[in-house]
Amino acid sequence: MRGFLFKLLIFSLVALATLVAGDFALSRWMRKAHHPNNEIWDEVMEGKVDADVVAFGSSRANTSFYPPVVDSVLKTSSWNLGVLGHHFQAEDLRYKMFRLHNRKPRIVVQFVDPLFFSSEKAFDRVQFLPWFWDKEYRKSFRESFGTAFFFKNAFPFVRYHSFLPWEVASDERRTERGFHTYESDIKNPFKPVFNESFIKDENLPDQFITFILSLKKDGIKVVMVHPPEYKTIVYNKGQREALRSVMDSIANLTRTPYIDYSRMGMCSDSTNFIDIWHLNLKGAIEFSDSLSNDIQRILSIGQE
Amino acid sequence: MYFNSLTYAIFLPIVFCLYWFVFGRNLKWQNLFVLVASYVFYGWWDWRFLLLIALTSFCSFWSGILIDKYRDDKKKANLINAANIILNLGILGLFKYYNFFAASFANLFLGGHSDKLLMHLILPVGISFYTFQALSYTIDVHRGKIEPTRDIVRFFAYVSFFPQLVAGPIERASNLLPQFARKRVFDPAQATDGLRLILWGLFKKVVVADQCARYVDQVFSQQASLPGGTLILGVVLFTFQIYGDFSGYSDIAIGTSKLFGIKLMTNFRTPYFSRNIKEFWQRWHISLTTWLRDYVYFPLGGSRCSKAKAIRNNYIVFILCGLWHGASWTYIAWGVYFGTLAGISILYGKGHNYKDTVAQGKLFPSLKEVGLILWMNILNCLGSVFFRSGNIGDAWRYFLGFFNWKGQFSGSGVMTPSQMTAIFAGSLVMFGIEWLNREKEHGLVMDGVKSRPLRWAIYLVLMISVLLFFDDGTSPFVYFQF
Repeated sequence: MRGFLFKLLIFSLVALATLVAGDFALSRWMRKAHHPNNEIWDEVMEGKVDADVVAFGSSRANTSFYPPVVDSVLKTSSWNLGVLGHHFQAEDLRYKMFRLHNRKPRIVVQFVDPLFFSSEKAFDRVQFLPWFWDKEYRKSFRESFGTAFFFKNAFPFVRYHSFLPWEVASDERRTERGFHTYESDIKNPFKPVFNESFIKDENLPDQFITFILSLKKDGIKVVMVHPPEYKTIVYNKGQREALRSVMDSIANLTRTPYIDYSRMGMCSDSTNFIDIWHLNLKGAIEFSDSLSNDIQRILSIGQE
Repeated sequence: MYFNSLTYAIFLPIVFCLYWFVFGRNLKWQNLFVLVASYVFYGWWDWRFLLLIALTSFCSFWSGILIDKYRDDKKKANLINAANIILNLGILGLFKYYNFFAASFANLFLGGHSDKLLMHLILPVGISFYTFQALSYTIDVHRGKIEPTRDIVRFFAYVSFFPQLVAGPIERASNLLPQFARKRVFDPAQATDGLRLILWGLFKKVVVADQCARYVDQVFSQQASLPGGTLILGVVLFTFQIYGDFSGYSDIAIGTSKLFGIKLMTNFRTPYFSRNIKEFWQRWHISLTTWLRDYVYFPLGGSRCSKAKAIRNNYIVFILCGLWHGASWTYIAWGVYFGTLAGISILYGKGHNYKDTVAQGKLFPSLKEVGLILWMNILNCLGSVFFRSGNIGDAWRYFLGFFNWKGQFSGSGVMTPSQMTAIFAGSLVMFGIEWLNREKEHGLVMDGVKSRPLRWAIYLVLMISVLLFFDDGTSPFVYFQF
C-alpha cells in the first residue's frame, strides 16, 4: 500500500507540474489570440486604451457603441469595453483593470439591460482566465466575483475545462477598438416569442451605485444607456417597468443621466439588427450617432 | 453523484482511505462500510430511492433463506421464488412501465385521454440493474447453483455495491457475493490497473461520448431539415457515443472496484470489431445479455429446439432486452429489429459462432474481416436509429431522410470543423487503442509498454484530454435512464 500511495503521490506531483506548465503556456497563447474577447482584454491589460469616452456593458454594448462615429461627433477618442455575455460583476472587474493600466477617461457610457444585475457567472468564463497569472488581476477578480467563483477558476489547467483552444484560434472576427459584430446562429433571430425578464441579485444595485459614485468622485462623467432592442422582444409581465423603475431610481440617486433607447424609431427595422438584442454595423452606426449627439447635448461637450 | 463529477472525485478517495485504513482489519465492519458508502452514493440522487433498494434487497435476502429452508418441499420453494420474482418485477414494472402501458391503452381505447390513468412516479436510478442483480441471486439459490447467505449486511452490500449500482455490470451472486465473504487484501498491481481503467473510462465518456452527443443531439432534433449525409453521420456518431458512454461507465465501475480489491465481470469486449450480429451480442453489455440468456433464453429452450421455437425465443429475448432499456415503442422496435436479424441467421444458418478475436495475433484484419465488421456496424447503425429516436414516427422519418441528398455530407450547420475534428480525433484514439488491445482484458492494458516515463506520458495525455473536455459533470451517463 505504501509503495502504491508513494507512486501515486509522485505521479500526482508530476501531473500537477504538467498542469501548471500547460496552464502557463495556454494562458500566454490565449492572451494574444485573435478572438474579440481576448483582444479587448489584451488592450486593457497592456495599457492600449487611450480614450476620453469609454463604454461598458455586455455584448449589447459591444455591438452598439461604434467608436469611429462617436469620435467624429464628440471630436474625441472613444473605446468600447463591453464584456461578452456578462453583467455588472464582470464589467466591474474590467473597469478596475482598465483604470490600473490605462489613463482616466472623461466620460463613461454604462450600458444597462435586463440581465445587468443578474449574478450569472458562467457564460464564456474562459475569457477571464488567461490573466490569472497577474497578481492584481487575481485580487480584483476575487473582489468582483467572490471567493467561491475565484477558487472554482483557479486550479491550473483544470480551469480551462470544456474550452477548446482551436475554437478560439479559428475565430476570424476582429474588433475595432472593442466594437465587434457577428453572424447570428439562431435559426429565427427575430422570432417574437422570447420572454425577457429583469433578473436582480439583491446586492448588485448597491454595488453599482457605489461604482457610479466612485467614478464621479474621480471626476468622470457617467451616462446610463439602455440600448436599442428589436420591436418583437417580449418582456414578462411588469418586467420592463421594473427594470425602468430600478434604473430611474439609481439615476436619480446618483444624478446620472439615463437614456432609454430600447424603443427608438430604428427598433422597428430588422435591417438594423443581428437578432432581437444586438445591433449590426448599420444599426450601430445610426445608434452611435444618436447617442453621441445626446451625450453632447446632455453633458455639453464637443461643442467647443 | 455522477462518476464524471467533482463530487465523486472527492467521494472516492475518502471512501478508499476509510475502507483500507480504518475498516480494513475487520471484514464485517468493512462490508458494513461498503454498504453505508453505497447508500450515501445512491441516496445522493434522492434519499427516497434507498427505501426501494432496501425493500428489494430485503425481499431477495429472505427469499434466498426461505428457498433453502424449503428445498425439500419443491412446491413451497417454487412459490417463494415466484413470489420474489413477481414482487421485484412488479416494482420495476410499476415505476418503469406502468405509465407507458397506461398511455398506450388510453391511445387505443380511450381516445388518448390518459390523465386519470397515469401516475406521477420518479424512475429510481439504476432500478433495472439492481433488480436483475437481486433476482439472479434468488434464482441461482433456487436452482441450487449457490448457497444462500445468512449475512444480511453482506447481501445488502452485494446488491448496492456503489461502483456498479446504477449502470452495471449486472453482477452474479456466484461472482460477487463470495468476494464479500472473504478478506480483501490490497493488491498494488490491481489498484494501479483500476486507476488505469478509471482514466480510460473517463476518456471514453468525456472526450468521445460527450462530444459526439453534442453533434448527435442537434442532428436528431433538426433531422427534418438536414441532408442524408448528415443524418448518416449522426447515427454513426450516436453508436460511438453510446459505446463511449456505456463502456466508459463500465470501465470506471470495474476500475473503482479494483481499488477496493473487488473484481467485477467484463461488460464489453470491443463489440464494434465483431464479425456478425451474434458475435456483437456476445461482446456488448455482456452482463445483461448473459442474464437474459441464462434466465430467459435457456429456460425457454434456447436454440436446442425447432428453428421456429428458436426464432421465437430470440424474439422474446430481444424484445425483453429492448423493453429493459425503456418503456417506449422505439425500444420494442429495436428489439424486434435485432430479433429479426437473429431469426434470419437461424433460418439461413448464417450465425457463425466465433470463438476467437478478429485478426487474432495479427495487427491488421483481412479484407474479408473488414467487410464483415463494416457490414455488422451498418446493421447496428440502422438499429440505433430506433434506439435514439423519440418515437416510431421520428425513426421512420430519419430513415427516409437518408435518401435526401440535398446539401453537404458534413457537419456543416451543425458543428464547426474544429469540433468535428475533435470528435473524430477522439474516436480514432479510442478505437485505435482498443483495437491494439482487443485481445487483452481492457483497452488500457500497459504490459506492452515497459518504460514508466512513457506510460506516465500516455496517462498525462489522456488526463489532459479529459480535463480539457470535462464539463462540471453535468452530462449524465446515458444508461442511468435505464
